[in-house]
Amino acid sequence: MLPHQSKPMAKSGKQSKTSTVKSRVQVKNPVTDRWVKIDTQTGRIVDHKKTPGPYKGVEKK
Amino acid sequence: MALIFSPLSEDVLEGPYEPKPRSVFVMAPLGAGKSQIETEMDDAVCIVLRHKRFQPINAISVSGNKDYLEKIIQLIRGCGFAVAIFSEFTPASTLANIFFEVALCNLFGKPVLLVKSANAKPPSDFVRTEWVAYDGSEQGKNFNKHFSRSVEQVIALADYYRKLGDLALAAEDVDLELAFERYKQALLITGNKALKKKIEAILAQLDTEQNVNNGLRASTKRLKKGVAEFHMLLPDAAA
Repeated sequence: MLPHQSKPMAKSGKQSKTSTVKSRVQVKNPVTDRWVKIDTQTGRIVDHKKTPGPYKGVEKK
Repeated sequence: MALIFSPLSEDVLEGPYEPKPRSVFVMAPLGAGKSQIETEMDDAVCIVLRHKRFQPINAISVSGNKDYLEKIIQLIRGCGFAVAIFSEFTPASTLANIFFEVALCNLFGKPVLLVKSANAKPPSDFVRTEWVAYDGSEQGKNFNKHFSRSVEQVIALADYYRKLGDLALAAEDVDLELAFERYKQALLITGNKALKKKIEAILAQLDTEQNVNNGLRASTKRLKKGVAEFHMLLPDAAA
């Protein structure tokens, strides 16, 4: 904190939006060209992305 | 995981089959009734596959005295992926056979590429499936380009399967069966030796599994037998 500041600056956004989801990873299916979400607990596919682009906050493999 | 039952014996579909890495099961009209365009499409498909070092196989390229459907099932289980070829001249009975085999491929987790003549209409259940059209123009150059791209996508799919196998093996609740199936899919497409090592690691892990729940003993035994047979029958040259 700088000397002239009386209190910490407010942070915008929620913490959950910037942190990654630990129990999920994502892999891109080259045929459908869509990202697929995997549960790292079971290794099973849990979701297919319906639109282009990766899931936010999910680690890519 | 759901068990697959044989349409012939009605028993659980297990037992050995010959894994043929880098082989492609081609489903197309066969014999005297084959039209000119179907012959051209079949030839064009095989040229591209061989150029990419894949071995096209079909129901009559392998001899055997088994039941015809049983032979087809074994060929599909052992191949990396499949190609279905049809045109507007394909008789209804042949088309039914081709799409029955497409469904079997889907059941066994084999990617299928549909190749149709420009005027052929796919069955309604397959309208969302991508296909490559053949119109015979420019000596099939356009077709070769598009079909080659589709084959490249299947090759890329093998790496996707390998990643899914790695994730199943690294999962907190390790799923050896799922990991084996994913590695098997990738190995049969590419013939990659590194994947054989991964299957050997699964086999070693299955050998050391001690505390198997009584209710899971039969399925574990079945899995171990399936993995061991697949590994034993893999050709040395290919993998």
